[in-house]
Amino acid sequence: MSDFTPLSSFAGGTLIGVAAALLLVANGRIAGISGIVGGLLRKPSADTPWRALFVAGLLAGGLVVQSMRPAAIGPSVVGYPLLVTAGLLVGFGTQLGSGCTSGHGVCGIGRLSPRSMVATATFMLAGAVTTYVLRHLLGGGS
Amino acid sequence: MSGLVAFVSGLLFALGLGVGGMTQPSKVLAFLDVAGDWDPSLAFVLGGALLVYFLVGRVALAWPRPLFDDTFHVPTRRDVDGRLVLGSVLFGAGWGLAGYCPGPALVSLASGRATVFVFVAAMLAGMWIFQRWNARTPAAATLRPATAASLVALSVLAGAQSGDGAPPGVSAGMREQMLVDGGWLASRVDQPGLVVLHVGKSREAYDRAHVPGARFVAFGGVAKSRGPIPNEMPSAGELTALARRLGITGEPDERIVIYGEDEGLLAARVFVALDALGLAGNAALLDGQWAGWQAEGRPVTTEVPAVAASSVAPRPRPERIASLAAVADLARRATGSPDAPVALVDARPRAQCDGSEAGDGVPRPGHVAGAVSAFWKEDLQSGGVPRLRPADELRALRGARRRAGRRGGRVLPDRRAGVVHLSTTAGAHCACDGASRPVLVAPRRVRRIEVPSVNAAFLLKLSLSGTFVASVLYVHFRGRERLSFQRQLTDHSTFLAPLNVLLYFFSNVPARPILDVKDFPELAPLRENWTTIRDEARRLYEAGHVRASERYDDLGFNSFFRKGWKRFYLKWYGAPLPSARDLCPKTVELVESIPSIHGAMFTLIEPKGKVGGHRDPFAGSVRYHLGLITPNHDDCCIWIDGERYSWRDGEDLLFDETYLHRFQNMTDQPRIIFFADVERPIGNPVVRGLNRWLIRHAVGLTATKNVEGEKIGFANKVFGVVYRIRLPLKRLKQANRTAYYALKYGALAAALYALLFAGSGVLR
Repeated sequence: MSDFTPLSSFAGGTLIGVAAALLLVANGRIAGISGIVGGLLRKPSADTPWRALFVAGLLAGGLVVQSMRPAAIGPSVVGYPLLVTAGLLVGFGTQLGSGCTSGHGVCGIGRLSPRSMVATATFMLAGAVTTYVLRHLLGGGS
Repeated sequence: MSGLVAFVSGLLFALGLGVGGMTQPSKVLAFLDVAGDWDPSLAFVLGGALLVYFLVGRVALAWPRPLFDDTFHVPTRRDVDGRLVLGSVLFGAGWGLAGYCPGPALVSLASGRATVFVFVAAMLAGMWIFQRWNARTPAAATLRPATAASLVALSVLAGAQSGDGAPPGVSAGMREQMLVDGGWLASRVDQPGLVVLHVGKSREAYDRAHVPGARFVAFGGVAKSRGPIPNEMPSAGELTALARRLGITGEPDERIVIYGEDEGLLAARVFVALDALGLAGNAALLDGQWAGWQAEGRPVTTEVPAVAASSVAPRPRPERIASLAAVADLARRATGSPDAPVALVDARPRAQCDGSEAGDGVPRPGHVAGAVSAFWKEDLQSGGVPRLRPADELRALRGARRRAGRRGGRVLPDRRAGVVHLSTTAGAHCACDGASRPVLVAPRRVRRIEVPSVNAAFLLKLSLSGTFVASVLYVHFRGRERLSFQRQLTDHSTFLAPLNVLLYFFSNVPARPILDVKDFPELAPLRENWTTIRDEARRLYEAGHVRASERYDDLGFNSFFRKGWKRFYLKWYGAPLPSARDLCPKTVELVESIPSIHGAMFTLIEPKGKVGGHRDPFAGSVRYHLGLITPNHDDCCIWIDGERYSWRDGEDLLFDETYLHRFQNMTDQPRIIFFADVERPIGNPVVRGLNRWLIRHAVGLTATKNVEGEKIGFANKVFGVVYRIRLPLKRLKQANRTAYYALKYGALAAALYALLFAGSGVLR
């Protein structure tokens, strides 16, 4: 029931690319969200300020999106038990696998890193399998 | 500065996620659900991001260091280990469960939804758990794959189980409040503050008998036909007049009980009408309706009560009538999460819902996409009297519908969500069941379903502008020396930035200011014959042919002339000039023998001449200099992106003239060189073709003359005219800088606004 939006999605992707490229060109940093957030959970270091500012920018951007196009931030499609499970998996998994959609998917593949290509293929596949199991085998979720 | 960049990067990142659709879990899952109704949009997000990042990264990572840091902090590991794969499996599983990955989840916090906060808290907890675990585990150790796999499987099952469980219990309080039985009503018919409403299609049955004290409401008073569309809700004004006639006061101690002559549609309709007025807070339906009252042998009367009209001033609640636009949107987003604002319920008979039967006045059979069938009569007990089923039966029924809906890819909400009823009638049933608060679709707009769509034109412009801004930033930050930001804003290199960036990316020469002449072997004959060229240049110079333009007809070099720069054109993006053929035939012949040279001239810098930092606008060529008659002194030199070069007789130089460069001649001798534009070698055939097309058709417009009568390019003709307009503006700048800049940036802003927003209103 989701609409195919190649245009806006591509535009959004371009923006993400610009954002990540900006961080690379200016600060020499990788815009990997899980790495940045995970770094904030550790003891404060010299990297803490820019990480905090990046996350602040992310949150501020969320407010901009919310105020300009509230429908762009969709509701959760699952209940609390699944949300908690998913959150734990995403948190643990991104730290163990040292990256998520942004760090591996954009910045890693963008640098032609074999690690990131394997990671991206793996989490895409795992995501697709999970969705398949939930939606088509168990008939739940959705 | 780097902090600001981090913030801006985060901000842009969030906007990109929002625009791209990553912050809609339903869309993310529709992308991952390749076996279902696959929505490949997010591949476009990844594609767009990769395209930009790959191109920029390829160039940037060749730099010695980033702009604001001493080194690139880029992962260097290339090995694939178990941790990477396992971590990605776990992350992917979590992603597939809820549709959130870290970035979009953080961005979605702005929606204020409790669900997102819960997810982010769990995610942070997961990260924290990893860090605790990792600190204790030797780095070499890895989680056993089997353990991890079972963890995933367990999580999935646990989540699926919990998601599949019975809906939360029905609130008994709600049922009591909104549904009263005959006994309850019979014991209160005399009480003040009780308003009993008898709903019928005509007054006939009411006149025969009704509940004591009941006031008659005609169905036509709450459902109107307008044109071909039946059952339209009357206006708030009409409904208010009706409520006043019925003596409804809206006081807190008032209690309204509604019953109808049918199985519930009539009474439900009045309930919903009152709800739209904001007066349903104290209203209830009579379980069993008029039929039940009679079957129970309760007292009836023919007496019509004397009703004092009220002066109630209701506060209508238009949100109780969902617009069709909203329904169309919901039809796409109907979900069963705690966040789901509503779900769509089609309460009409199943046969009408599945389209096998049309129903009265329904122009098109079928149901709104995404709606779950829940025929309202199924909520009633079997038998003659239309009583609502007991709560436990309703709960089971709703569970069954939920499962059926889910099989169809649709979900019936639990009681925390509102429900849009696509039948004008049965919402109240659901309401008094405590399952949901009814919202009625306004039939008025059935004919005009407008699917809210992203304004594609606006987004296209936005991404084009984004590309433009990114190109300008790239051009601005390319190299070590740069123009002041303010000057860059209006510099010509800004306007050609997107084109130049394209040419840079496909360029076969390295991205550095000074290039190697050896990479261009076709230029060797020039260097070998430099004395021949020099002799012709000297004759020209001595005859006074190398000079500045006397009029405003040389756009490309206009500002140089005041600073001691002169030239004699041999060829400028077209055939050689006739004067050049006459005066220096050998040089022209040499130039003609090298096809990659599109422009050539002799240039001179007077003693003490000096031209400040500038970029050439067009990256389709690189610049060749051959020293002819030079001071051979370091005080006569050019800086290209900060690298200094001084001309020497017979020596040549090749450089990328789109880097910032400046030159001066601080000696007492003029400097004369041969100057040429050499086509930039480009790998990609399409981009090379584009560049050649531009060289042939666009750059030639800046051609101009050495002597009277030679051809002047179109751009220079225009320039001559435009410059006459610029002269008063220059006077304004001298008189009042503030006014000049206000005008300049105002015009720029207006142009930008027009570009972004013109036509959007029409297209929207």
